[in-house]
Amino acid sequence: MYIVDVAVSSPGLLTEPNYRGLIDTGAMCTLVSPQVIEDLQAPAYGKSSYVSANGQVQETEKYILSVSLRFAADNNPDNDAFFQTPILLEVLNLGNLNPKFDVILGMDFLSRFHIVLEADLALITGLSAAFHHTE
Amino acid sequence: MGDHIETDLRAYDERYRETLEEGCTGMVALIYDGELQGVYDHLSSAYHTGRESFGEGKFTLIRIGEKPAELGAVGIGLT
Repeated sequence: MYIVDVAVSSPGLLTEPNYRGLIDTGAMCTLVSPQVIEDLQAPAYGKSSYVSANGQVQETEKYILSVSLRFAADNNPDNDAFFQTPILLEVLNLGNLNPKFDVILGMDFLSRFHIVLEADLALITGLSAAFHHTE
Repeated sequence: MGDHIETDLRAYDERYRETLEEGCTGMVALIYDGELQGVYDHLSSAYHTGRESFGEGKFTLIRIGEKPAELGAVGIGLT
């Protein structure tokens, strides 16, 4: 599993990446846990649905949130300089699907970057580069 | 979830869905108080317009023609 620190905030705000996120290239969309929604006091903007593990379609609330990763400057993971690139996304409520993570990063987010998944490392490059170790 | 969302979703289903899904699939519909306010190419345009016009959390955004999302097995804890 490829795990990253993710910043999630209300649109227009930038916060520290303090949520535990899972890179999931098999997910079409990004989801956040009920705790993240509560932390941000995020209002719902509608409903979306997803196909659950047993093949049934489940409906859930949809939120509009800013999601970002912290990128090391100059493609250097040891560089203290960094920047974040917030992306406005429609995210779904993860509910109790996977309580181990605060955020599931789906392809709606990941497709904005170039990602190389190797045995023990995910290399994510966008405007610059970030290096994230895996568990 | 706010009652306005139920109202807006019902209005979309009853009055707008059929027309919008004919030619606007993938775009974002902004609905407020049961009335279609506009259709936008991008989520950010729809969101910012809605927030400036009606306030945070007071409107509904609908991705036209959206199908249920597939979730990865890892994400839903199957592995």
